Amino acid sequence: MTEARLEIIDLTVRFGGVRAVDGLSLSHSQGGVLGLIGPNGAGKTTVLNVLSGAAPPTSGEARLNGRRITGLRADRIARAGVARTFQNLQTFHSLSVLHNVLVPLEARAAAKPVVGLFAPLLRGGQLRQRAADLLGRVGMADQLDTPVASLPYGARRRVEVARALAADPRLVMLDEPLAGLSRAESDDLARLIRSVADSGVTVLLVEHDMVAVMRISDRVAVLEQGQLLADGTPAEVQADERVRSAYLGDELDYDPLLHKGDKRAEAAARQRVATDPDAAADPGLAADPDVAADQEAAADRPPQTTDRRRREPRAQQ
Amino acid sequence: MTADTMRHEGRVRADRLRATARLLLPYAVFLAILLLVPAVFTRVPLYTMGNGVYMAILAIAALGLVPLTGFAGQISLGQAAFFGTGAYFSAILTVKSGLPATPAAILGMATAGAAAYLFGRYLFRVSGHYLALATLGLGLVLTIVASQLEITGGTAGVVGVPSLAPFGVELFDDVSYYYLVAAVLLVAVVVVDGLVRSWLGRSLTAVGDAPHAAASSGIDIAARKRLAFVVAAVLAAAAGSLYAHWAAYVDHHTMDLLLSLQLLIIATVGGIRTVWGPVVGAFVVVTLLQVSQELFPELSERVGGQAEIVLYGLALILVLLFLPKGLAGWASDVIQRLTRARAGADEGGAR
Amino acid sequence: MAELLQHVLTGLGTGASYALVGLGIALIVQVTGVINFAQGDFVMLGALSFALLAGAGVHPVLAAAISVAGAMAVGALVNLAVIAPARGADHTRLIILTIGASIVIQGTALVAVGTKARFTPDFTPGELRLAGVNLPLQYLWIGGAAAVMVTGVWLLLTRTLLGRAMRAVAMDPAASRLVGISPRRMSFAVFTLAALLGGIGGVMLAPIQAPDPQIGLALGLKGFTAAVVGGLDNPAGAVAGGLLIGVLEGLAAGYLPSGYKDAIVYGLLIAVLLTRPTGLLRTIAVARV
Ligand SMILES: Nc1ncnc2c1ncn2[C@@H]1O[C@H](COP(=O)(O)OP(=O)(O)O)[C@@H](O)[C@H]1O
Ligand SMILES: [Mg+2]
Repeated sequence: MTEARLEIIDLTVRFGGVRAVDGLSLSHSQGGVLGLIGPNGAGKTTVLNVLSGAAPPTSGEARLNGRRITGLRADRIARAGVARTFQNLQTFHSLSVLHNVLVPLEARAAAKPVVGLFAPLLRGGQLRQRAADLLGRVGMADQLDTPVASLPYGARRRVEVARALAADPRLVMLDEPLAGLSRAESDDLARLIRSVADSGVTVLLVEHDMVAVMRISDRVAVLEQGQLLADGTPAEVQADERVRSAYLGDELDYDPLLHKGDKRAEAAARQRVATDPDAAADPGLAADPDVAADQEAAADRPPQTTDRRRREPRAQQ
Repeated sequence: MTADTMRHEGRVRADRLRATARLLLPYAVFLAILLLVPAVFTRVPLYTMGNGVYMAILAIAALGLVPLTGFAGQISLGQAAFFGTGAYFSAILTVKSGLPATPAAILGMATAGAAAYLFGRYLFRVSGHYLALATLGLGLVLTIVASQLEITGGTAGVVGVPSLAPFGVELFDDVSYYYLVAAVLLVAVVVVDGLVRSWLGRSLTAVGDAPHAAASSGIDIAARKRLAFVVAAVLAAAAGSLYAHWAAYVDHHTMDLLLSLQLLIIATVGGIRTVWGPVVGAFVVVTLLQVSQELFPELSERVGGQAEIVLYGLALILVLLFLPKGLAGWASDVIQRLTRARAGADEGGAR
Repeated sequence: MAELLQHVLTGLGTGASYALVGLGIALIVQVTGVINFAQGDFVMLGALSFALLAGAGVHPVLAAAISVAGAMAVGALVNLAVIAPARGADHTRLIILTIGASIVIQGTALVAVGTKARFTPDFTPGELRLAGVNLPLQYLWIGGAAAVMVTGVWLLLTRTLLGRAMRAVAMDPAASRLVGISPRRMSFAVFTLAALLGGIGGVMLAPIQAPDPQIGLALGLKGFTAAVVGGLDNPAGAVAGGLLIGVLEGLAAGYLPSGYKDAIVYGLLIAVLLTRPTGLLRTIAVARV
């Protein structure tokens, strides 16, 4: 497979008075994992929304392998080879695990002309096998028939990743895939992301877990208030004075400065979900990391994470 | 092939057998009920054979709301407009143009489907609940137009629609007509059930569950909603054609908003995510109608024969609040829980 | 020329009441995301109870107060009994619930008072004579009441804590919850407010459109059209939309055969939805993902 060539050219997205993305230009054609970091509200999700066709840009454009994708409908962009996951979990909650992954496979099979509508019927077994294989890759092989709504948070995240990988994308965009996962789950998924990238699929990774980002990314771009603050190898970005002072603090820790403010907010939100049945009714919040998964993660996390830092990052080019 | 996938295949095969049984059982029950209706309805008080015909027609007209509203999450208040389209086509083409009933009905269904397609092409370009508003407007405009035009017979409507004679058998009474509409209902249930169980139904579910994720999975959301809307329109038109030949006349009240509301209530009260919902719902709504006319005949008179709508509205609210999956959905949950409990008990005994 | 002006002015008068109905619809959509199909029935309740009370000899001011309060109470009740208990319901289910509420309100009114239309005299008899136009004073009453209410809503939304809380929920329910605003309470508040607006619109309209229990549908549709013209969740747009369809209807009544008056408004609703579903008066809003 040829490497995806992604170009973002002078992209601006405004919501009323807010410039969520402000004249961003960024090109990437060397494959691997491109990490996209920045504090909450920096515009990372908005960039993903524009690239996936979920939101229109105010101005500027994006191209994939030379073809303009801004302005295309989301399903066309998906067919051009772009897949994504969502920060606020968007699984198909009334379908089983297997069927969640089957959906993109069938959509792609049906897109073929002539056979069209019948392709998913004729190739049903084959598509199911492929979906089952993908779910095996994210460690969900033994829960294929489980309704996805009854899964814990971490498992749903993995289903979402499998679904994103289903239609053989060239570019996979993951929006905070590790958030709310336990340490073990997080490590597994990080390994999977790396292996996806190594198999030739370009990964655009938005993630708050700095250690993981620095470990698995080949290149890291830092966004602040919709603008590109820094861009380079993980080592370069970590060494960058502006980035250090702005986000990372003096010590690159598991829970760096950039995390603190919104962590507290998230915890408060979760508290409310747990106590206010009204809050739980809102899919946006209910989909947030569920309490159990997060407490488990917190318990799992050693207070001092220097050992993790010392772990050799992947060979950097 | 690894041992894992082989074990999976074996399990899949066993599951498939069980699934087939689970799929066919409701159909066997349904068929038995359909065949029992004439024997029962001609003997018990409260119901007449005409009620049986009307229930089946309403169920056919409401069936399309299962994929449209239940799966894709789009509300339609225009089912009566398509019902009326089918009814007027059948009436006008058979009475005034002397066309045989079948091509007349097919033309009506095709027109309804084409109208829904065109409507959907524009309407579904953006997401939101615009369909409810647009179909409400459409229904009201068509009702006004039908009462004004000459070809629709103005407010007098079209009378003298001939009765049907499939394969040379004249359907002269409600019992014989019932067998025809019951057969059409059965076919419609199978078709819609097949649709929602197929990959198309899966993608409709995806659209309703998480539209952004569905789009990013390569699904053309507008096309899926359009498909569901067209299916709903065609089924409503088919029901309308059956109605025209049964009632023998059609006027603008045939496509009254009340019918659209009734159909939405039928699908919702019965269960909007299963094909059995509209069937159960049609039974409930016609029963409510009969009961209210039996209990408060003079009241019904005073308020223009619409006292029952209070009951409909209450039934709708109560079901949506307490049994959101509808009566059929609730029943299937109960049955599932019972069988699972029994399976659990069996396993416990074996150990 | 004078004739045209006459139709435009009476149209603006009735349009002012449609603006109130549309404003209520838009506010509910904005705060809760739900299209309230019972809005027209709030208007019907205001109009019908005013006509009945005034007809029974109650002082008009008292009759108006009771009618508006009654409509508000029903609006609050719809929210408490139908919307609030449906926890975890998606918008589709909530919208169908409002349809159910509409049916029950209309049906109860039918059973209670029958299908008869109730006539009631203008608040103040007489006409305004101006440049060859004879405008019944009732239209000025409607325009004045609408102006007061729209200003009041604007002040509420921009100057009060409650109004700001409503807007916060409209913008971002999750974030509002974080700062302690309950979307559920705001939903209650906005339903009550919408019923207040509907009730006032109804009282004002009663002398012009002799109300019966079934006018809620037509009035609701005019409110929907007003809101859709403005962009469905845009309160200012709904007010402009209400005035626009009032004028359109006035012109249709003046120059087209009768019977098409309503069809024109419904046709406008469909035309706008098919061509610019996000409204004639604004650009598209972007959903959060
Ligand atoms: N649909 C929207 N409407 C209004 N403002 C939005 C919308 N989506 C994002 N924003 C705003 O844009 C900014 C960037 O948000 P986002 O892209 O989600 O940031 P990040 O993902 O980096 O945390 C924030 O200020 C946010 O409030
Ligand atoms: Mg984000």
